[in-house]
Amino acid sequence: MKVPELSVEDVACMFPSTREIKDPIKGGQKIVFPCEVNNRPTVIKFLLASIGTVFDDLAFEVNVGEEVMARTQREVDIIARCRSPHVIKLGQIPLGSAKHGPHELIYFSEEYIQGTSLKDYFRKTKKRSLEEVCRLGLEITRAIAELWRFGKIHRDIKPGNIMRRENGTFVLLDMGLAFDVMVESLTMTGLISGTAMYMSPEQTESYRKRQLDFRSDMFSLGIVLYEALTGRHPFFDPKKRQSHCDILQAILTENPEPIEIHRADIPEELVEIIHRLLGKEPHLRYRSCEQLIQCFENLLETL
Amino acid sequence: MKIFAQHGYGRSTKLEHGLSQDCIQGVIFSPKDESPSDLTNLVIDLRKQFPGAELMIDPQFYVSTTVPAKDGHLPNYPYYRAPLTRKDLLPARNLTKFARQTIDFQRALPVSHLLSATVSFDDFTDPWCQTALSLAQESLEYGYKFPQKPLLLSFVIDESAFRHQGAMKEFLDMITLFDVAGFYFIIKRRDAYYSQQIETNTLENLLYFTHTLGALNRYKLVFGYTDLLGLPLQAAGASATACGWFQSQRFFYADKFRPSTRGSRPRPRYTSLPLMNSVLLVPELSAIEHQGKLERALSDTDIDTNLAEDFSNASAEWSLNTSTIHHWSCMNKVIKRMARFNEPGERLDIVQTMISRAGALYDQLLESGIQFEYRSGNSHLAQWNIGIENFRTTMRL
Repeated sequence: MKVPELSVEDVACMFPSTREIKDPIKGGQKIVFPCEVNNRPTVIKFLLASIGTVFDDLAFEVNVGEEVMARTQREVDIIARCRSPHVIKLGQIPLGSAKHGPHELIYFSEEYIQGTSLKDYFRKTKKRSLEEVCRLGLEITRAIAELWRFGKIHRDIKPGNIMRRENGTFVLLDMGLAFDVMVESLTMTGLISGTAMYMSPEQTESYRKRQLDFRSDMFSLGIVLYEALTGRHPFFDPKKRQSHCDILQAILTENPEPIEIHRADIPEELVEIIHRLLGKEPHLRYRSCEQLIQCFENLLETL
Repeated sequence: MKIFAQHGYGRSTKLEHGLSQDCIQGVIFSPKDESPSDLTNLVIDLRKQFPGAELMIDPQFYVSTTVPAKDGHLPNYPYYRAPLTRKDLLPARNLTKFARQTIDFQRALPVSHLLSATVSFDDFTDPWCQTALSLAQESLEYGYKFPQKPLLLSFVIDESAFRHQGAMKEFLDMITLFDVAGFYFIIKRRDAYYSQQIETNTLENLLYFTHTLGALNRYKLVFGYTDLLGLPLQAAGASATACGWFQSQRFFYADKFRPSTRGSRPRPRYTSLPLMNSVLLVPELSAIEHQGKLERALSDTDIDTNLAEDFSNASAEWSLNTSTIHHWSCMNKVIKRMARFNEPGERLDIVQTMISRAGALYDQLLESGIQFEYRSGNSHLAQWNIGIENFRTTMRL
């Protein structure tokens, strides 16, 4: 999928109220500009109002029309209603669209979080404390619960979409504002949405037409927690040179190595939680976020 | 882990005896077998006498789709409508009405849990399954208004549905999204004759189903019309299983509510825990006694003392009341032993040890020339053991 080609000057021109616009960060389908809006640290995200595939080698584009814009607006409204401190907040620049050269762009803004992405944090720190991993689990579960309150799921929980604030708390980013919009179009083409390495088994089986629910996000969280505890991905071994298909196959059929093999100090209760989260079937996970939150809270009391 | 009485025709004072001797901890009432006023009085009386007992009414709404039906007193109940076709159950307003009226009748009584209206289905992909889910959804929405009386969603499922693991798992995905206290399940058996036999694959999946809902998702799980099979089910995660005094109250078969010409008085049976089966008092248990092996087949409850001391006299006086209390006591004894363990694997160890010992005892008895009829035989033991073993392998228990 193409990322919009925009410069700092373009953004300054489009939004004269922005200050301190920094160099963009390109990621996924978006280009993101950190800046200040009314003295508040903000990021403005742009994406093309047309979508391609998640696979670079299968190039096609689907036009996104007014309907998509309306649906995106509904998503924005949901995020605006979220009250959890672990869900990213919207910024002051509302959802909109703009013409840039031949391209139609969709943009929206979010609060800027001072901190590190979990992906970078994993790279920098060799070993995370049990307490911190439990808090990560607890806080991201609270974010999942908050989204599910509105019947919404994230679909793309991964270390790159979780920020660790400077005060040590965690925030879930990229609520799939635009991504959700694409899902319908993409699944119509038989493709799957999400990041392969963190997908739930049911996400990979789009042919089943089974409706996803919050338990799909729980599975992705299980992978993140496994990684946080051990520094290893439960279904991906870099030494084996696995393809996308191999990873999806492993997610669907293979049981990860018992987590305690890689780290001896993990309490039994945490082993059980990770095991449950990585259950191949949604019904093997937790039936409510509240149940999982309770498990993390109980565990944190004992650590 | 509890044993409930499955109430039915001919109750006399069995419920009071069972509850007072603590060999049952609750009752599931059958409106078909009592008039509304008698049932109301019975529930009120038992609640007064046994404040801690779990009392619930199986509304038996599922009988309404049986034509012709042997529905006893059911037509006198305000929520019961018969005969109902699938067409009657399609409009949402009808489902809402049936769900609400069924709950309203129970709400007025001192029951511990409300049980929802349901229709039976043969397969998880069956349109009737969708109707049952819709009734459950309607009941759930209405049940939220009465938090003081937790709701159990009822489902009556043919055992053959459990052969298809994929469809069963999708059903589990759906019902584990229900925010409800628990479920009341009736497994409809294919065989119209009482026996402990069940297909290995069906048992394996039934245990998976039970474990997922009870042990993993922490729902209260009550299985009605369940005999000795209730032991592995409770080991896997069921909260309670219910059985009654007649064999027809210990298993549920497809034609249970159809008019029948059967009805001869059943021959007295004896529940032998060492054999993990129910055997005929005469000639099977008497033959074992004749061979001098009685003590090895007795279940070691209080009632067994009499049999051990004076078999001919005690067996001659073996009444339905005695047999019922004995059966509940046997079930209760194993349940209490299993309740000491938190892990399903440890509880299943108990059941599998019993199966293994029963197999050895059967071998000895058969070698010494004792013959068992089809229903009293040992063929279920291997089925149970393989089913449990496969389930444990799948769940790594």
